[in-house]
Amino acid sequence: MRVLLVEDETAIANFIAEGLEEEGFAVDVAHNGREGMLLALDNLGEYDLILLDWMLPGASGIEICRAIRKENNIVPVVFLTAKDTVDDVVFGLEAGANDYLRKPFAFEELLARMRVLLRRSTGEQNVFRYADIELDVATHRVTKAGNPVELTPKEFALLELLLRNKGKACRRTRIIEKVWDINFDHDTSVIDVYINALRKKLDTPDQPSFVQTLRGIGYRVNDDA
Amino acid sequence: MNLNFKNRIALLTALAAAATIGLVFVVVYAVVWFTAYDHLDQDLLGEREDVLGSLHWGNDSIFIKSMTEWEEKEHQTAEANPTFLQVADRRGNVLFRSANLQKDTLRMDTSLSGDVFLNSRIGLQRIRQGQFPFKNNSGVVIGYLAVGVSREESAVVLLNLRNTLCIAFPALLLILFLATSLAASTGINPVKKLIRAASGIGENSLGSRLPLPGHKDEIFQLAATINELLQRVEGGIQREKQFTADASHELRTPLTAIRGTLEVLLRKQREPVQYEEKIRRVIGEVNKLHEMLEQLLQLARLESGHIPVNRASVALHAFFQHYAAEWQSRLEEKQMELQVKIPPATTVFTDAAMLSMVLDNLFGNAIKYGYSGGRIDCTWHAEDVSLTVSDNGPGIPEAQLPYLFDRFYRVDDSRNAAVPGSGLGLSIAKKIADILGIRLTVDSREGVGTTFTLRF
Repeated sequence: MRVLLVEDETAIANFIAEGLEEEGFAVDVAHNGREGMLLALDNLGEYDLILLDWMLPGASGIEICRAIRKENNIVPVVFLTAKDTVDDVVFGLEAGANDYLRKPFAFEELLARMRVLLRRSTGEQNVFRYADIELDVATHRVTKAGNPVELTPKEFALLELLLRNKGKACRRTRIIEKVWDINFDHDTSVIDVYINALRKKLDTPDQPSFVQTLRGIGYRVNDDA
Repeated sequence: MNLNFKNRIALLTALAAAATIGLVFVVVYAVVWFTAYDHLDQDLLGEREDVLGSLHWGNDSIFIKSMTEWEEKEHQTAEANPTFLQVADRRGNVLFRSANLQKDTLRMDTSLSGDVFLNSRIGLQRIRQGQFPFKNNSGVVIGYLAVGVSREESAVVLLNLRNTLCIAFPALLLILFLATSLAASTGINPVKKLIRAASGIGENSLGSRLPLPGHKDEIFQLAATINELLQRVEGGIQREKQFTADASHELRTPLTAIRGTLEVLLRKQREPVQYEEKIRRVIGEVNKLHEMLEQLLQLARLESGHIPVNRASVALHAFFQHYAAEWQSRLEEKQMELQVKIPPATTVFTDAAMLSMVLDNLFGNAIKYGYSGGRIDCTWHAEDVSLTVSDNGPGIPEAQLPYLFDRFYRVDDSRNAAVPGSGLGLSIAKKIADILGIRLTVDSREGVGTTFTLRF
């Protein structure tokens, strides 16, 4: 899951980005309106969700939101703002936002609302399975044969991407886009390291791996046998 | 008197009209009176010529020249419009009178020696009478001729005129009062409309304006003036609202960061070094919050206007020597250089403590936003009694200069630059300068630097 966060206050941007990354999101942070506008419009199809501050130097969150909707993109947009009157909320929602969170907000609430929006845009599913492997997006837990497995945020995000696209090939570039953020230097060999880590943690000994390597293309989790 | 506006106008108009109409009526009556009696007097004079023609008088006697002719002159029948004649000696004893006088006598006044016209009566009949003296060759009065004609007709005309005028006067005034009152109430309608429209404007509809009438008259001016007033009130309220919104935004931002950082921190077990780093960050945010609250309180105190100002002669040179020493460590941190050019004898009459608060803000900004190794010049200009504080920092875009002293205003790019600040400092400096009667202005060019001028 790749998220764009446009927030000019560094202290706020930092904790949101850190918190979301720990939840397995890839987070791109823009520190002003211009940067936010550029990132949003240039990589529009790549973001699964966009978090916007309202009052930003350069271009306001409202302007960015309108620009996104003008491109006719349905990516979920959430406003995070200190503007708190009913008029503000209505104005924000009418500009095309899907949700509106008043600052200061609880981080758990932000996560819950993001999950609702992501579930709506990617289907109602919260739990993904392959054989005895189970991944719950809501609780952020992975189990194998009922036993909890500890995954790092990136491993979790990678597994989620593979399971969400079960039966389909996940190209290496797509994996980079969705799991790593924009600052990543596109050396895709890092994917293999993470795939190996996942195999170590999730494969059943003496059985084929749950994830297939498609040479030169990427990886795939097969449909349930 | 508790009269409403339209009746007051009507009453004043009626009073003015009463004086004017009254005067006109008096003049009309007098003219008619004089014209009528002058006409009769001309008749009397004509009659006198006739009579004098048939009389003859010497030194002290009067004769009738021809009795027959005199008789023919009738004056004896009691006709409809008779002429009465009477001749008397100088003592007033009647020598002769016309037959139509019968037993009556025309009143004579021997104390008067010239021609006299007067109103009198014979029985019930009102007459106009002329009294003319006979004079002998040496100019001595030897007798009087009295001629009388009826003035019945004129008297009736005058009476009618007087009655008409007396009735017309109050009637005219009443009509005038009512008409003016009606006109005034029509005239005052736009004002009433304004009152209705204005009383409909409340706290929630401050944006609405009074409708302007089509004609550019006084009502138009009134409405336009009220609209301008509303504009100013609305602007003031808007600024206050904006301030509250800005203040809440600025306070929420560190609060959000504090809450969020701590929440994310608590989500799972971490290394002690991570806890330490996050808690340091939170303390930084708490400090920001604290500083902002202090500045808000200071601003509120300044705006409440109850600040004691202790003005005294301040020797600016000594003041700056002491002042620059306080800033030395902050300047050294950024390897910045401070150049003070103030002649030793310079004094200003101001509150030294408040002046240093203004300078604190200017110096603080110059250091905060200036480049490392930059310089600050502090120069006294005796010719226009002003002090300039210039830096060679990045400068401020011209478009943003007008807002620089607004509360919470921060130059765009300084917001996300790693420069802490609330956007209150300069508005506090400006407020203090205003209280001290110092004109604080700014001039800046991007890439060259910024100059603040304090004009004492």
